[in-house]
Amino acid sequence: MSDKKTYATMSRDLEEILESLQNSSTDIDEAIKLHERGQKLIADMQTYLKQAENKVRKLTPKSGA
Amino acid sequence: MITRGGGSAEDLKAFSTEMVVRAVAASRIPTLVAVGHERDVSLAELAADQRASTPSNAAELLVPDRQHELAQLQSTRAQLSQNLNYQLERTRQAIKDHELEFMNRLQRNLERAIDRLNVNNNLLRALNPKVALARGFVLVKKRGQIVRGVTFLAPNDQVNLEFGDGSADASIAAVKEYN
Repeated sequence: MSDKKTYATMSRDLEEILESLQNSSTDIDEAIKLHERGQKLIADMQTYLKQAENKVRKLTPKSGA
Repeated sequence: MITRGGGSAEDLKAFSTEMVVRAVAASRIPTLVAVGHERDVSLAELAADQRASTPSNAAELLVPDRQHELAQLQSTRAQLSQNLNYQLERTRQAIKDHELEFMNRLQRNLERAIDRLNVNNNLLRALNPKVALARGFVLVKKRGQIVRGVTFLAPNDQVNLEFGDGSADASIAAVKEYN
């Protein structure tokens, strides 16, 4: 979270992790590490999207205005 | 302006002579001709830029009526302001439409991102290697290396068994390879 990554970068990283996890040559230690990194990425991305959602809600004009 | 009040046909004949008619037609200054009464039509009137039925009518044509002009101006002004208001309203509506469209797209993009993240989250959960350990699979390691088959094992090898909740050390008693 400390280094400000864009959503696109996080999304790309996650896709790579998922691909590695589906690869049978990835050993279990690496898989566990990758899985943990994936979980953290998803949590960061969920936070990011939640904030974006709030921003959009604030921008949305009140209906009938 | 050429004008003359009513009179006999004889009196008005001069206004139909070739010389007068040609002079009127050739004039570079705009011409207004009013001769006799309404029913009298002279050739000069037909050659003029503008014909008036009577001299009084000619005067009316030459001098704009103040009330009429004021009313005209008033109406033009009202028309202008109405047009301006219409344009403003249309522009305002267009901006509102654009804003709505922009917000809708933003919302759609956001929803797409959320859906995609949910799918990936489920996939990651399914790929959790610890889930396999919890289901009873055990990871066998020899000198810290994962053992991927019995060909890597020999009797009396010391191995480490990794479970989901802990690990155990063990010694290989015998090795049997499937065909």
